[in-house]
Amino acid sequence: MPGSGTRTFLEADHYEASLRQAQIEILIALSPKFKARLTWAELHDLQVLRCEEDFPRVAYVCLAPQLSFVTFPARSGLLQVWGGTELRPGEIVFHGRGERWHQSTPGSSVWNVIALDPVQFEQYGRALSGKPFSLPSERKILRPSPRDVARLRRLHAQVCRLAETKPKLLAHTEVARAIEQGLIETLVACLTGASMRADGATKRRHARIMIRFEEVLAEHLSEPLHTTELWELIGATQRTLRSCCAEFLGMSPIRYVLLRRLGRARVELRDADPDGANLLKLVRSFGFAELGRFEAAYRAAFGETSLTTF
Amino acid sequence: MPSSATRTFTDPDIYFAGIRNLQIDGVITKRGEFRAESTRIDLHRLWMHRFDERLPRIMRITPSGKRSLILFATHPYQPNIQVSGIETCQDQIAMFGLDRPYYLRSSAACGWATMSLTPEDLGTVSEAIIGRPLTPPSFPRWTRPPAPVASRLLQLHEAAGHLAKTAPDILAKPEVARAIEEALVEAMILCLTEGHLDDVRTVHRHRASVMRRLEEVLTSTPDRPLYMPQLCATVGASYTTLRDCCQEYLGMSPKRYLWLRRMHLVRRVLRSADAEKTTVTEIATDYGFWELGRFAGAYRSLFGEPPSAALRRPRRHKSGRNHRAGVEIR
Repeated sequence: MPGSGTRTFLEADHYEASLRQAQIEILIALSPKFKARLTWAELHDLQVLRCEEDFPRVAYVCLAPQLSFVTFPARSGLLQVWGGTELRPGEIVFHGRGERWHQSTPGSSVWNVIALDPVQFEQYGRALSGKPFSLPSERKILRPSPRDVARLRRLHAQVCRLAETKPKLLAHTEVARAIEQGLIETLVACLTGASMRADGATKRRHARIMIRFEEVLAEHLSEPLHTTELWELIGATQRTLRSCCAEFLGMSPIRYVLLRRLGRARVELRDADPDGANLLKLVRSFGFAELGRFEAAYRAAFGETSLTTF
Repeated sequence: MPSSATRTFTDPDIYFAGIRNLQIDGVITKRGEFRAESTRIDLHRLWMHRFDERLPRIMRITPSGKRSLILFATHPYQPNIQVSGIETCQDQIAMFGLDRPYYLRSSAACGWATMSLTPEDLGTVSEAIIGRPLTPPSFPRWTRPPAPVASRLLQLHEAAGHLAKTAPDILAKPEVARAIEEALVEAMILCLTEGHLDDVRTVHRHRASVMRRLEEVLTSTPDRPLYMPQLCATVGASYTTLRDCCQEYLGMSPKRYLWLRRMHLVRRVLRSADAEKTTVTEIATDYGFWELGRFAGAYRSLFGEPPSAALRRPRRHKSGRNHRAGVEIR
C-alpha cells in the first residue's frame, strides 16, 4: 500500500532510527546541533526519500543489500563529498548492493534517495533498452544527459511535494503507479545513456580501510583503545589511516573515535535511568578513562554538561 | 439490392464508433472543429465508400475478414496519407488482407475512398478480365498503376459518389448499378494488375508485428492506464523499437500515444459518470494524472472544454452512439 509523510527531527538518533526503517543505517558522528527533515514516499516497489539536514555532519552509511539505491544531491551545483569523492553538478550515484561508506557534508545539505527492487528494475531495464541490462555491482558515479537528470530531479521533487502537501493523492494506487513507472523509465534512461566514473584502485583500497576501521570501532568502541592497537586491528599504518580519515572524514582518526564515543554516550545518557545508574560507571563503559576529560570533551561537543543530559 | 447513403458527422466518437463492419479505433490528433462526411455506395457485388475529413486523425481498422478491400486518396493535392506507417502517394493504391488490422494516419484534412469485393468475387472477376484469379494479400500491398488507368478509376469512383449524393434513386436501379459496377470493377482490376508493385521492406513487416503486439496489449487492458516500462516489458520490444514503430504508424512517440490514450479513457469515464457521485479529481487520479492543474489545461486544449464541463453535462443517451448513426467501410 503506497504511503508517504514528512517529519522534522531535532535528535540525530531519532533521525537515524527513521532512516533505518527505510533500510538505510546511518551513524552520525559529528553534529553539535542537529536538525533534519525527512520526507518519504513509499510507492509500490519503490521508495523515494529526501533528507534535508541543516548542519554539517560526518556519517557512516550502510545500505541494505536487498535493495538498490540511487542518491543525488537535490540542488544542482552543490558539491558534496560522497565517500571521499566530490560529486560534480549533474551527477548521480548508483550504489552497489549493501554498500557502506563515509559521507561528510560541509554545510547544510539535501540529498535525495531512491530505493528500488534490483530484480524488477533489471527486468524493466532490459525491456526498455532491449539490451542486456544489469545494475552496477560497485558504486558508480553517473553523469547522465542533462535532460534525464533534470527529469529525475523534477519527478523526485514532485513526489516529495506531494508527500508534504497531498499524501492522500500519493496514496492512490494509480497515482503511485504512474509516478513509479515514470521514475523507473527515467532511471533506466539515466543509467543507459550516461558516462560513468568509478573510483580508482587507491580510493577503493582506502574505502576498504575505512570500512574496516568502522568494523573495529563497532567491536571496541566501549573499551579504552590505544592508537597503536587501533592500527594493528585495522591492519593499516598510522600514516595510511590518517590520510584515509582526512580524505573521508576531514579529521584525524583519534578525533573521529572520540566523536563516535561522545555520540554514543549522549544517547545512552539520555536513555539512562537517572536514579538507578551511576554516571561514573556509564562514562567508563563508553571507553573513557577519566571523567574530567570526558566532561570537557562532552561540553565542547554538545554545549551542555553530561549531567544535564543525564 | 443496390443502395447508397451520405452522412455528415460532427462528433468524432460517433464517426469512429459507428463504423459497423469494421472495428475502428480512432483518435483526432489536432484540435479544432471536427467534420466528416461519408458516402456509402453498395452496388451488387462491389461495395464502396468515400470519406472526407476535416481534421487529421489516426484510425486503427480491424477488417471484418469477409471482404477484400482497396484504398486510395481522392484529392489530388492533399498531403500523403500513411497506411500502416507507409507513406501512400496519390498515385498508389493499397490493397489489404482479409483480417490483419491496419492504421490510417492523415496529417491534414483528407479525402479517401475504398472499394471491396468478397475474395470469391475478386477471383471470378479478375479471372474474367485478366485471365488469372487475384487473391487478397496477407500483408498490405501497394501498387502504382499507370496514370491513365488510375485516373479512370478515380473519375469513375467520384462520379459514383456524386450520383449517390445527388441522385441516389438512379443509383438504386439495378441496371444502372450493374453498368457502373462493371466499369468500376474493370478499372479496379486493371489498376491492381497493370501497376508497378511496390516492395514492402522487411523492416515494415517487423514493425507491423511489433504494432500488432502493442495493440494486443492495449486491447487486453482496455480500462487501465499503461506506462512505458510496463508496456516495453509486456510487448517485448525496447523503447527505441516502439518509438520507431509508433513514429511511423501513429506519427507520435509511444509515450504521447499512451498519454493520449489515458486522456481519452478519462474523457470516456467523465462523460458517462454521474456528477453527483464522483469528481474530476477522482477520475483523473484513477488514470494516473496527479498534476491536476496541468491535466485540466491539457484536457482543455485537447478536447476544447474543461474536464468539469464534460462531467457536468447530462449523460448522453445511448442511442446517440447507436450503430444506426454510423457508417460502414466495406
